[in-house]
Amino acid sequence: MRKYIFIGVGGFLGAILRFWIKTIPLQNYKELLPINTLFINVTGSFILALITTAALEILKMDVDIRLGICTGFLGAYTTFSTLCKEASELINRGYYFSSLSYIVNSVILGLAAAYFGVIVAREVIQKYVNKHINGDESI
Amino acid sequence: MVKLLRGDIMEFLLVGIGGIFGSLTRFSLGKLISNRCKTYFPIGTAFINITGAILLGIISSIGASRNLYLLFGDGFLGAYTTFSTFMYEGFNLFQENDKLNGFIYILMSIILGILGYNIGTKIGSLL
Repeated sequence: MRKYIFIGVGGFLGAILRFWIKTIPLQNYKELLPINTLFINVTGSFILALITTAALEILKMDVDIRLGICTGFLGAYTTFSTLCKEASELINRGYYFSSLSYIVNSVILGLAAAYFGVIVAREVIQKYVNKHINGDESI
Repeated sequence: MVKLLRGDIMEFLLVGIGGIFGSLTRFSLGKLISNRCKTYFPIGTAFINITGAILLGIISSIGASRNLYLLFGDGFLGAYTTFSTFMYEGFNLFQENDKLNGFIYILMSIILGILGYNIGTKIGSLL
């Protein structure tokens, strides 16, 4: 039961944060790429990879808290359905190249963000934990 | 702060309530699928993302009211589908040197997702 409450609370906050960022107006932005959604998906991918790696490999994080943050908050914050909708709308308006560019950018930046999340967790958090919590002076 | 919160609190609440049920449905359905299909290919997330895209196509084209779209489209389906887990699982397939499956997973999800959204809009306009 506890994990469902954590996932629900995370989902509530994640969906609201996504909606809030999505509706921020960009005054001088005249391009076709939906950059708000791109920003949401890339930052979410980075944080999910960072926290999942830290929770599974480094910190002894409570499983329910991890589910609340990763499955609840970050899962709801990022979205795949809106990506498909925006890419389809670009195609249907005849902007084939912009649609392809949006998809390729989302996937490449998303994968790169996940990769950096794993690296940052292993390098930065691992070293911090070793130095300040385990008291290892050899690093 | 008031200026930061464009739109009213009601809209945020509708999206948030949809988000609660969307993430719980994703979690429960994902667990059910991964228990049924013992495969390391992330079929659960693929199924969720593609069905979510179809449903968003339907809700976008049936002339839903703004509040219904906020609750079900932005809230529920936005939270039901996920991009972060999709990327993390894709990256893991590449990392485990299973590049072919990683490639198939990403390409299949995107193609079926966009196709699904368009099929959804066709279904929705018939309803």
